[in-house]
Amino acid sequence: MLWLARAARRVFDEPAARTAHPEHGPHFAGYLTDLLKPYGLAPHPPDGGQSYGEMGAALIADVVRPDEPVDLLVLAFAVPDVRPGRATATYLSHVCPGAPLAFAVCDQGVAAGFTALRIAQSYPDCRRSLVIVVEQATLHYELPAPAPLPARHAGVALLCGDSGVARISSVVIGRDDPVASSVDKPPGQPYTGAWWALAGELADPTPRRVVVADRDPVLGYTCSSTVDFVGLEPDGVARVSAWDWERPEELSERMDTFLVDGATCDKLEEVARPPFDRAVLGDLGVTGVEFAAWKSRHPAALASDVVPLRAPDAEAAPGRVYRVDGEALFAALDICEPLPFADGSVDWVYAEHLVEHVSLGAGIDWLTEVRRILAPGGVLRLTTPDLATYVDGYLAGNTFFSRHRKRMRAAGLGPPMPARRAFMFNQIFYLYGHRWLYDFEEMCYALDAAGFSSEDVRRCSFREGARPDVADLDRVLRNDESMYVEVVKRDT
Amino acid sequence: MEQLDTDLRPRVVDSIRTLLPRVLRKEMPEPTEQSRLMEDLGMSSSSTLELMLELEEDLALQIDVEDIDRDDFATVGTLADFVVRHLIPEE
Repeated sequence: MLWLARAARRVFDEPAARTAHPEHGPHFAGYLTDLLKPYGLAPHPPDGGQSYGEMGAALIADVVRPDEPVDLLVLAFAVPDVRPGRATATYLSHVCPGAPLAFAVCDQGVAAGFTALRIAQSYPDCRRSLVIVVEQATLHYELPAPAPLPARHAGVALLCGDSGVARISSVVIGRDDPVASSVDKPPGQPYTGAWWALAGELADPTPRRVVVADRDPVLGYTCSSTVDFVGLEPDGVARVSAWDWERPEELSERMDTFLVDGATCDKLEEVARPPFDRAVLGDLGVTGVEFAAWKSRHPAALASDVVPLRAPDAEAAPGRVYRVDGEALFAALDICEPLPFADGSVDWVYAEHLVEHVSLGAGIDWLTEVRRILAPGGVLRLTTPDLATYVDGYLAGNTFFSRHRKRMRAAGLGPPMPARRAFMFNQIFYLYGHRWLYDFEEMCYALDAAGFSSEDVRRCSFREGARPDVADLDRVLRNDESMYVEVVKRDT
Repeated sequence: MEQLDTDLRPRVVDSIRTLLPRVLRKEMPEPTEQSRLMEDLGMSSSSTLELMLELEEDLALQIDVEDIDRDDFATVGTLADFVVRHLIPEE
């Protein structure tokens, strides 16, 4: 998911720094003459015009702080640069903090900026990506095909990344589709106008949806991008991001969005409908269920989550089993509802960091259902943040909190968590949609209430358990704060 | 008083080579010390943390990852060098 953190926009006046350069001026004329000759063209008097290198550098200085390394830069333009012969995107990578991987997009008319955003979207691992859309108004030769020329030199830089004030949820480029609505595009800026208007929208933090839409009159591309402002304060240059650890409701919404946006795959094929008994599951090669997962690493698992997976042409309907991308199996299930499996139909159930997301009562109801669907001798393995680890971290001031903060930071979960012990203690209760935290005793209580026998409950270590194939599902990212608990369903 | 364990580096290299298929969730020909993590193996910045944590787990060590940068992730060998130089002593 790509977030828009902040933006800069600028009009550039003549004379440009490049063309006014005393040494480059005369050489430029000769160079351009040579380049144009094969096309039977001669340059107009070489005055004016801007180079995207200098324009881009100014925009970078406006929008990126020196201590903010950028991972990806995409330069988008339609009108040719007045200075040929320079790999401008590479030059901008050189002047931009972080020396980002750089692309340039051109020859797409107004679609260039939209393509640039699509490129940024396709690098989800980038903490920061910078999209620069520029246009300059002076050409020293005729273009081979007609195209609108801008009335002024202008540029917009959009600093995007894994956090920000507005979510860029879709970027669509098509041919001659009707465009519903758009932000108001200023005249004289055919290529940067839509982005100019979007940059202006950032001044207003009110939650709303903004559609950036544009059409290229020559190429016939219609483009649109949906930008959802989530109601965070506009992001000043001084702040890295609008992620605010002190506003749990906003973080919760952000994380829900993140989950929904992450639930995508290429292909969904329906393979079975409920109810599922042992024979149906056996035919599918399923021996157990992994909850809170879209794709299980276990070869004989049915993965399940309350958030349905989406493919470009379909969404998983609740309760049905789908083959995902031709391999793993998935079913969208709500653990607050009865599970669509027959009694004793699975050999194992695994759930990592799930049970703390529902109330104690809902947790016990789900565990009761899990016990029902487990075959005698079947294993349930649960992992959940250990309340005792947090209490020890708070009381003893040991290194758990500081290490956990570093780990979350390295995992890209927002800006650094505050180091205050009370913060570190509160966040596990109030953030991430958590409803009830367990220590081992509390987990034993819940399992007992669900009908398991307390002497069959065992505390395990990370990736150690009755079934190595199931214990192996433990994710290392969580092993600092988790407890691992298993219970076996009795034969009777 | 930094003390480098001379046996450690080969162990780190072995461990990285063993862990990579797990972290990258794919089968692959066994990587060498010269294998490039990003270009050849498709490592991303999100899988790097996972690899470091798996290494800690596998070798029962603590690694200080705070000042790791992209260059350290060039190859299996450079990553092993980083790990050996950035161990946190057991308390």
